[in-house]
Amino acid sequence: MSADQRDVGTVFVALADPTRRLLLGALVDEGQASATTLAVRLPVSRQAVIKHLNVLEDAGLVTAGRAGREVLYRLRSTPLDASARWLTDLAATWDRRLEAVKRAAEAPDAASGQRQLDQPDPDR
Amino acid sequence: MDTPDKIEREIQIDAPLDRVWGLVAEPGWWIGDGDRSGQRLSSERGLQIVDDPRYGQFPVRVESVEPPHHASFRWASAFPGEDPGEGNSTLIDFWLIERDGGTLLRVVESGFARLPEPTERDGNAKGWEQQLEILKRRAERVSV
Repeated sequence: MSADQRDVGTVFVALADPTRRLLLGALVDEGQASATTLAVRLPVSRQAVIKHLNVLEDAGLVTAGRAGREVLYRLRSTPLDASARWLTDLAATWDRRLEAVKRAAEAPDAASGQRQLDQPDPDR
Repeated sequence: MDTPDKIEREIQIDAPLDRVWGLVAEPGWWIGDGDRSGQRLSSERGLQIVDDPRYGQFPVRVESVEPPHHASFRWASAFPGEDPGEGNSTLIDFWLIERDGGTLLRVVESGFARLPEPTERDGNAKGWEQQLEILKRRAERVSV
């Protein structure tokens, strides 16, 4: 799960900045928009908008396309879906782990709490 | 405020709190998804090291132990073999509460946004305090 987790980390970090979240919100509203349009909506310069858009683009959260003389940015939801799926998988992993500790704790022969979660390795 | 870069799960266990505590307070017990056969445990550099034949080696740092209700650990789950530290690790919190004659065990794993972001251009990954509405909505929709 390492590679997935790194991708998800990338998405989380890209989303960690409040300005970038505002940008994504603006793109949801606009459908697609140029850096100039987005700078009008947000309390930051066009240069700052472009810098943030680059970060979002690196994380796969926006795509840029040329329309005449303008570059239009558009939200890309695939990484968000992937992040949500990854969180769901992790939830399932924790459910398995919690089930295991439940089984161990509820086992009638669990003499003390320090017992291993399953049969000890006979070689050990 | 809740942040979506964490996961929370809980389970009701029909066993006394002290027994559950004994299991949950052991660093790295969750590694191997319940199958701990073949694991080797050691202690180095102030870390508890779990060497799992399938998943690899995970140094675990004990962050806090407050028997019998709370324990927290830090590990670098995405980076087998690496010591948990700034930028590569998540924090796991376990909370135990007596409930319905048994024990409610709750886990929170947090800090996924701290994982390194090699291609970020502005090098400024601060400000996670604020809620991440988009992802939170999506995460809540797909999880329970």
